[in-house]
Amino acid sequence: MSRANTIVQPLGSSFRDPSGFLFRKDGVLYRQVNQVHKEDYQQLMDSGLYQNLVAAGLMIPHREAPFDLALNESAYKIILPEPVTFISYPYEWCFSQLQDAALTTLKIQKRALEFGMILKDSSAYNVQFQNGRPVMIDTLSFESYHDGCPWDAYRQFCQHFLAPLSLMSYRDIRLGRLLRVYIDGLPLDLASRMLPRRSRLSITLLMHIHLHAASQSRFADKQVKTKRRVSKRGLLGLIDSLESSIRRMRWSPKGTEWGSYYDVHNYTQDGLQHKQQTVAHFLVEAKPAIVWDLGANVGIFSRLASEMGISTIAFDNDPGAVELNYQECISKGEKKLLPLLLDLTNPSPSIGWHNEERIGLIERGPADAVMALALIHHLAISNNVPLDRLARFFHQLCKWLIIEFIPKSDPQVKRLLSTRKDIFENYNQDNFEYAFQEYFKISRKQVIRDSDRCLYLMEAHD
Amino acid sequence: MIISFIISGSTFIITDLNSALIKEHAYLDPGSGSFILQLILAALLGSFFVFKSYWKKIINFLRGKSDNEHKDEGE
Repeated sequence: MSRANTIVQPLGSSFRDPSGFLFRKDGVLYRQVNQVHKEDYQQLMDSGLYQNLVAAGLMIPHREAPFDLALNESAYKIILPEPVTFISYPYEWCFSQLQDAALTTLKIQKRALEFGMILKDSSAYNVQFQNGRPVMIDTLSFESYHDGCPWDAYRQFCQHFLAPLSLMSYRDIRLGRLLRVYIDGLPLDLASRMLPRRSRLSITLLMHIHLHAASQSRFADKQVKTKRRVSKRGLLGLIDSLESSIRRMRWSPKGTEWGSYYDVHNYTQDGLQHKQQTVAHFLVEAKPAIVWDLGANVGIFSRLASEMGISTIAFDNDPGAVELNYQECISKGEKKLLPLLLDLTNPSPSIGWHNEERIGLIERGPADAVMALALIHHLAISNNVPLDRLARFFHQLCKWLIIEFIPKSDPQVKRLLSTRKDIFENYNQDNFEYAFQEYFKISRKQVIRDSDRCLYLMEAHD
Repeated sequence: MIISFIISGSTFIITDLNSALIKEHAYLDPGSGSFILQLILAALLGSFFVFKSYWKKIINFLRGKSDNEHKDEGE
């Protein structure tokens, strides 16, 4: 037996902060609080801050676990945090999700100061979406506030939140994906260079991005010792300024008409209704606890699952579709649906130190069920993925698969083939079924009314 | 121009040195440039924040809202 199988170790993402770490034992996630963080942890729990944040839905609740679970002699407490349904990362969030996560962080910082504490870090990875809203998941991020001390995480906040949001808002929404390259947030000198000149007219961006980058450049590697202090009033002013800057940022998808975002015109009204009923029946039959809807667009079919009480992750490659989907979740107070940005042809990989800090998409699965509706032609034709590889990919992702086959006779496939040579001789329904039956059993099959499209419910072979 | 003026003006801070503001268990490097900028901005924004808070109180008083309502809106 290998050592990895016998020794419980901290998670790959949990090594920077000496205050403690996360570990998984028998499939359960625990957090060890180290002795070095004892006083700060007790202040969090005894000051009323923890209760305040949990009651406001700003922080993940936890309970204390048996101390004999401790992994080493540094332990002070072992806690059992409420599990997060699906771990997502800032490079998978739409503009408003990153903005909400930033505002949540600042809201927590203000409340912490009221209780005599301060956030010692402000990583966007400390925020997760649970029940539709952003929550702080790092119980160890709080330390005692001493009047006059600066906010150590000011730079981190600007790198993780302000810089990507300003680039997405002022330059191009796709620049949010730079967060996948820069795991500790966007370097401010890079953000300053990429932002348009007009961003300097914003006093807050001038201060927190452009001046900040210039100051970093000027004082790089210089040791700073000073008697000067950052007053609490000054700190609150700084937080207020960051908050105003983030609140003012806007991004709206082009063509925000709902109709232009979903290809409802590919179905007759009867056909669309039939597709919805069929997907709903398949979901009832599969009884999944978690569904991943791949290519979810604005979430029309994702909501069939989430409205049944199934935790549903709605992935799409279009930042506009994800934005609209998230805004609808917020306006309706939906708790079971999480829209996320994902390019299926290049899914989120495992990244960071030892390639273990942030987990890849496949490692976060498998889901109980995957929905792949009006998707396969994009992967098979636009991205040239052979059918057998598609079947193998989906087999890695799920136990149940609800998938739609769209033949070459369909107007959408004709459109994809209109500008290129048809090299896809094998792309037909028989070959699709043959390829997928290698990995799945076809449980149900239903042609959608008024179309050549066909829906399948498949169960993965063990 | 403005940037270089403000950053140059902060040189006096590093000559006015004698004790480090390094916390015992801090694990993040706040960065020298970020720290110095924070000192400058906090001095500027602190006064503005006080002014803004009082201004909001006056406006809320005139609108007949309580401080708590104002705080909730702010969050």
